[in-house]
Amino acid sequence: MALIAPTLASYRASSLFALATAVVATLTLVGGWLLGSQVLIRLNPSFPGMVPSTALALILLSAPFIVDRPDTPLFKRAAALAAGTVAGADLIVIFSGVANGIDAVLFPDLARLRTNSMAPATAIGILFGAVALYSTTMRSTAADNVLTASGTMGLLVSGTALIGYAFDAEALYNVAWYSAMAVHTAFALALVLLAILLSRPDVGWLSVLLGHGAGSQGARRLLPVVVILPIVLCFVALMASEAGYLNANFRLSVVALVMIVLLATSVIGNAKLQNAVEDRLHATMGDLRVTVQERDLLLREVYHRVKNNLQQINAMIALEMGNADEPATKAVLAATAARVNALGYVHTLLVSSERPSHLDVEAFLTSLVTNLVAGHGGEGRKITAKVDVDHDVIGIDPAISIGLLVNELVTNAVKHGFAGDTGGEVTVQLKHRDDGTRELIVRDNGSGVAEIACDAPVGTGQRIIMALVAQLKATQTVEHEGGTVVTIQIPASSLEVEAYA
Amino acid sequence: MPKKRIMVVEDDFIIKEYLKQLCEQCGCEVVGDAADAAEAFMVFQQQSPDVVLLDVRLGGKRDGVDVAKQIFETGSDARIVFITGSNEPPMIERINSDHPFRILIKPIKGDELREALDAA
Repeated sequence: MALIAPTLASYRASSLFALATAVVATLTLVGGWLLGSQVLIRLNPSFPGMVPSTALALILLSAPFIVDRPDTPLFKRAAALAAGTVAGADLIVIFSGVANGIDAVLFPDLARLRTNSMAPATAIGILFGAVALYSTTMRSTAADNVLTASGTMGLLVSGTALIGYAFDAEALYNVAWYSAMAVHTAFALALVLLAILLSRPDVGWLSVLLGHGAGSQGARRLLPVVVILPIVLCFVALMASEAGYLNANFRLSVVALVMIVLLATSVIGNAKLQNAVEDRLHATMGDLRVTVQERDLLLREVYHRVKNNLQQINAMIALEMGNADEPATKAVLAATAARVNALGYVHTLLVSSERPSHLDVEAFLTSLVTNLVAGHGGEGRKITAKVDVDHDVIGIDPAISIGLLVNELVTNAVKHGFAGDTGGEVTVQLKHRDDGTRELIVRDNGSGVAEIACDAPVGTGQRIIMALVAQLKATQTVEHEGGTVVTIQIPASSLEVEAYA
Repeated sequence: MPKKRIMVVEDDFIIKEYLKQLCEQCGCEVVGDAADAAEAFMVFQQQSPDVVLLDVRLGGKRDGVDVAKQIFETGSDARIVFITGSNEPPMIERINSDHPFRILIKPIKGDELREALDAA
C-alpha cells in the first residue's frame, strides 16, 4: 500500500504527540513534585494527581520519538523495558498488598499529598504502551499485530478515563480501577500511545486510515463523525437529563436512536463510496479494454505489413531466379527465398493469432515443415513430413529462431538425407522435458548424410544454425544412426513470451 | 493445345510481376494485368481471359470478391482463382459465396499455381 504523504505526516504527528506527553509529564514531575505546585500535580483539587512513577514512565515512553533517531531499536527497547518495569512493579506492589503502589514504597512521604500510587488502570495502560513500543522495533507480522493490539488496548484504557472525566468524573471515581487516574495522565497516555502507533503508519488500522485508497479516504471522512458525534450526543443527553428534560431510560432511548441513525448513515455513506469506486473501476477497465484492443489491432496491422514486405522480398528473389541461368545462383536464391519464407510464416500466423504476441508453435511448425518438404519436391521423391510438437505458446523472437533452424535442418535433410528416389520420412519434434527445457529434434531415416559434419566447410546454412543455437542459448548434438538426427536442447527461458510494451 | 490466357489482378506491383512470371513459367500467356477493381473489370472486358488470377485485397473501396461478382454477372465462364493473405473463416466464407474455382493462400508457391492453372 502506498503511504508516501501520510507517512511523513504521521512521523511528524508522532514526534509532536510524544513531545506533548513529555512536556506534561516533566511539568508534573518538576513543577509539581519537586517544586510543590499542586495545580500541576492535579488540575483540580478534587481530582487525583499524576504520581512521579507515572510521569517517569510517560517520559520514558515518549523519549525515543523526541530524540530524532527513529531507527534506534536499542533505545526504544531500553525505554520500553524501563517503563514496563515501573508499571509492572506498581501492579505487583498493589496486588501483593505490600503497599498502595510503587510510589508509596519509593516515596513514603507522598502519603501526605493524598495521592500515593499509580492507578492500576494507569499501570496497565503504560504496560500496553511499553509492549507496543517494544513491538515497533521488530519486523514481523506477529510483532505488528502485537503493536496494533497493545496500542489500541492502551488507547481504550486512557480513552475510557478521558470520556469518563468529560461526562461524570465523580461517577468514574467509583469504578475501582479508574479511581485514581489523573485527567492529564489519561491525556498524556493517549498522546504517547498515538505517538507509538503513528511511528508505524504501515501497520494495522492506521495503514487503512492513512492509505491512499478510496476506502481510506472514506474512513478518514467518516471516522471523526463516528468518534466525535457519540461523545457530543451522550454529553448533550447527559446535560438534558441533568436539567430535567430527560429521565434515564428516555435518555438511553434517544442515544440509541441517534446512534442507529449515525451508524446507518455511515454504512450508507460507505456503500455509496464503494459504488462510486466500482463505477470508476468499471469505466477504467472499459477504457483499458479498448486500449488493448486498439493496440492488438495495430500490432496485427504491423505484422500484416511485415508479412507483405517479406512476400515482396520473396517475389523479388523469385523474379531474379527466373532470370538466373546458373544453377548455383538459382540454388542460392532459392535458399534465401526459403529463409525469408520461414520468417513470413511467423508473421502470417501472428496476424491471426488469438494474442498477437503469442505464437502457437504446433500450428507454426506443422505449416512450415509441410510446405518445406513439399517445396523441395517431397511428393515426387516420396518423402513425407511428420510433425510431433507438444502444445506450446512462445514469443515472436524464439519463434523466428526456431523457424529458421527448422528451415535449415529440414532443407538439409530433404536435400542431402535421401539418396536417389528411395523416399523416406522427415520428423520434426519439439517436446517438453522434465527439467523444463525443450528438445527440438529433426530426424530423417534416409541413407544419405545431411551435410552437418564438423569437418565439412562451414556453409551459410551451417553458420545460420550455429548462430541460432547460440542465440537460443541451446546445445546441439548430431547423430548418424539409420539417418541423421539433430537434437537441440533449448532452455525454457529462451522461449518465454516477452511482455511487449 | 493453345496457351491458357491469364489475367493477373494484384495491387502490389512486385508481387504482380512475380505472379506474371510464374504464370509464364507455367506455360500460360498473360494477356493483361490490373491493380484495382475498376481497372480489373475494364481489362477483363477488353481481353476476355480464360483464367483470372485475382487478389482479394485491392486498393480502393471494392475488393476482389466484388470484381468476381461483376465478372459473373456478364455470364462469362472465365475461371476465377482467388489469392488471399488471410485464411480466416469470414474471409474464406465471403470468397466462397462467389463460387471461386480455387483459393490460394499467400505466399503463392509455383507448384500450387501450376496445379491450379492446369486444372482451370
